[in-house]
Amino acid sequence: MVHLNQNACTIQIVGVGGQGALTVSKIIGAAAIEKDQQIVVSEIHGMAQRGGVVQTTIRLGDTISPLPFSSDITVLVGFEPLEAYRAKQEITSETVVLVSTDPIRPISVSSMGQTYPEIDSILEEIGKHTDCLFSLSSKEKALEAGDERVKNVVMLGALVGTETLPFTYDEMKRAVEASVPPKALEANLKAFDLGYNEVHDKK
Amino acid sequence: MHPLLEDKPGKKILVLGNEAITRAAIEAGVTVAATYPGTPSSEIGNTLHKIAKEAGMYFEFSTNEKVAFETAAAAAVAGVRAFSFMKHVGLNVAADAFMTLAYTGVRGGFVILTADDPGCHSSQNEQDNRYFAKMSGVPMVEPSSPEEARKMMHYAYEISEKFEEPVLFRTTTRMNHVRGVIELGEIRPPSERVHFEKDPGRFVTIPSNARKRHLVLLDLIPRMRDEAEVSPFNRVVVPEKMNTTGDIRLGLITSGVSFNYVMEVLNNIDLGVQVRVLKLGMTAPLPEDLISEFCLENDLVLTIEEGEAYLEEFTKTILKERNIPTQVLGKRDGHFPIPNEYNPDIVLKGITSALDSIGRKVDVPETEKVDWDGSIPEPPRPPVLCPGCPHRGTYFALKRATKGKAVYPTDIGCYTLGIMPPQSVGDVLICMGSSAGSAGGLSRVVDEPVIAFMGDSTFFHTGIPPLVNAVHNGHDFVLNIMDNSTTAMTGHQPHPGLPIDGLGDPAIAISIEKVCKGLGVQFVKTVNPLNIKETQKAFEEAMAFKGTSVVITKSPCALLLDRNLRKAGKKRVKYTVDQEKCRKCDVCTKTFACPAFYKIGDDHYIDPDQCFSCGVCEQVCPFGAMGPIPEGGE
Repeated sequence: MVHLNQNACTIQIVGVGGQGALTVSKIIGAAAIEKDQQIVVSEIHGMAQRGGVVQTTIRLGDTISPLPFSSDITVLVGFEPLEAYRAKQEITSETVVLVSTDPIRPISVSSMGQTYPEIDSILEEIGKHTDCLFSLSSKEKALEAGDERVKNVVMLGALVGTETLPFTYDEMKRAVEASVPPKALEANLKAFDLGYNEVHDKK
Repeated sequence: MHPLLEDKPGKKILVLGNEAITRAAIEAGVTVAATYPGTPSSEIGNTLHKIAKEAGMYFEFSTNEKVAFETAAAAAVAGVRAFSFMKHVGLNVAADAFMTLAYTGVRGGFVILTADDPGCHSSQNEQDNRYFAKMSGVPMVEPSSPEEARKMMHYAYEISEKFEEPVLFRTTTRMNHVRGVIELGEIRPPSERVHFEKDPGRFVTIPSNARKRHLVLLDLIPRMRDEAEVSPFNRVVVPEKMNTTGDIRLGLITSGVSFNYVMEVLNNIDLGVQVRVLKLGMTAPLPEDLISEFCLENDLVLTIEEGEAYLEEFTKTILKERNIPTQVLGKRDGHFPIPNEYNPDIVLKGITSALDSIGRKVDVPETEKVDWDGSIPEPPRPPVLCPGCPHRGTYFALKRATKGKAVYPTDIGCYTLGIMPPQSVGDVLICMGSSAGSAGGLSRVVDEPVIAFMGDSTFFHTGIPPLVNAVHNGHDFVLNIMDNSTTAMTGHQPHPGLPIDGLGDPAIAISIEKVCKGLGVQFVKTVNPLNIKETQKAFEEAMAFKGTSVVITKSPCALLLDRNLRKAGKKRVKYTVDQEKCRKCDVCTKTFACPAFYKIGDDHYIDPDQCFSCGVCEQVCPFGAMGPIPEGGE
């Protein structure tokens, strides 16, 4: 027995302020409303704009609690590799981990002489503790989709590709269509597909 | 149309708790709303700033919470529905007005939202404002979810008008910043202008009237308690899936977000006992009969609440008074903590600890604990001043002027981040507006110069009285007013120094420089903190001046500037390091530390994605190695 609540899917997104986790939770929310799926999202705003750590918890299914038991993370999504590593205590062997490999250097590295760990060693370390780790460069895929800003939707596509969410590819794609501004739709849909294919094909 | 203004009753939307509350205020026909921004309540004001005008509501960002409270309270005294909202420590500022308004009461519904912050996510303390309800005698409600918050706002206005008393609406961070589905209700239009019915015997609180009004309030409290006994928000919840049978009857009394964690435990962990939950939504006055009866029906009762032992102490007192033998356990017995937020793990631990103390072991399924060896580095990611932030220029110039020898009382805003190295300025901080008051006291006793920091919005909030005090009493210190033309920390709300008001209409901008001069400050100088030499010189002159001096460092918030430039479709010049000129002295990273700087080996670089083109690095580098990327270059 790993998860205490077996009837809810809990997505933990970790990253740095300004990476677009909020938009991802809004799109998942749109999918949930469309499907009449129970959802509760918890965000820590605090000092996000000032380069601090941001955490978003999305819970789908049979729960009203914005926070889960610590052992109940179904998917950990690292929008930034160091932050994924920092959230390591929340990983169990059944947690699916999805990591974007594009680093954002914290001030402790850029000006205070500390060392940013090698991306490969972060992935290797996380991989020791979960049976299911996916990594991709969301930046690379976003640029391929035509707009670096859609990195977050690359990650959403990848998240759907893990098949851990109670939504199909089509359901989430419709939610993306309903949530993003028309002029950004093309890049977002392409980003969604690129992220989805990257992970789904590896499964 | 903004989704919160849609007149589509029954439509379901996913919104932030703060947005649910904003929608409810519109549905309830709130006519006057006023606030001073403070996280975790900030999004209510940000949203009203966008939509109040269209909703026909008057909304303002007041200079501080006390003024916001008085503005809204007066509207309710006149007879219309009013709303004032603030973070928990904001109610300290408004407390003077709050305590006495409980005596006079109101004629239109008045709801005061206090957003408490257990865990100090964005606050200087984690005070439990439920005690303000107890201290004042006003009724209080506490929601657990966005939809309950929406419904409870309507209820709060009903009981406010029923008892002609203001109602305290208490939330916590995990209520304000949780997203959930709400069902839109019907919108009641705001009130037209009303005729003020004079009643000085009630509303003018001279001692003879205040004594009478106190008696009125004391008579009201039992009636409000009767309301709590039958309130639809005070109800017993029975778990459905498990914990339905057992030889021990366990009662859990809870409120607010803790209820959610309690249900997560009860729906997933078999405690081996029969559990019932008393979920309290109206928590002042507390329902004595309801609580007593609930306790009588159980063998053991636990109070589960974040913060202080508010429910616990009341429950224990009532049971003692009524000679009810049921054992009640909570924080006072060490099973639940006072500090920090709760979560399902903490609630489960508290319940098992309490059951253990009466000899019942709970069989909690083993969860896997991963053993991390921590062999790779994990550099911290503290929040920092943004690239291009004018405060970084201010601190850099100031430290050149003081040569590190000064005491720095600081204040509440982004500039508090100056305590991080390498700026490392900020020695004393208590609350909003405190830096100038602290500076006065320090300047009388310490052997170094005193330099106080205060933001522009903080200056209007509570910074003016201590400056008056300093001038009049001849305190010798420098007040640095860091004017970035916005309330940056809470999400860029306007303040009285700007030519725009809460509704988005043009407004008279009040000049900080003229205010300081008008208060009698003899040395006032305004400089651009992106110009290091000019700023350093101003600080040197101000420090040499005997008496209270003011240096206003004025440059707009980089985030706001960037947003405006992007809207205008303008590109900014980026800066770079000339590797031939760079002597790798590290002055840039060790003394200025812009987040856009980075090193590969010993070589310095500027990340063009992060550079805001403030141009200060060019003035920082002693060898002229930093400068704008030449046209067509790189």
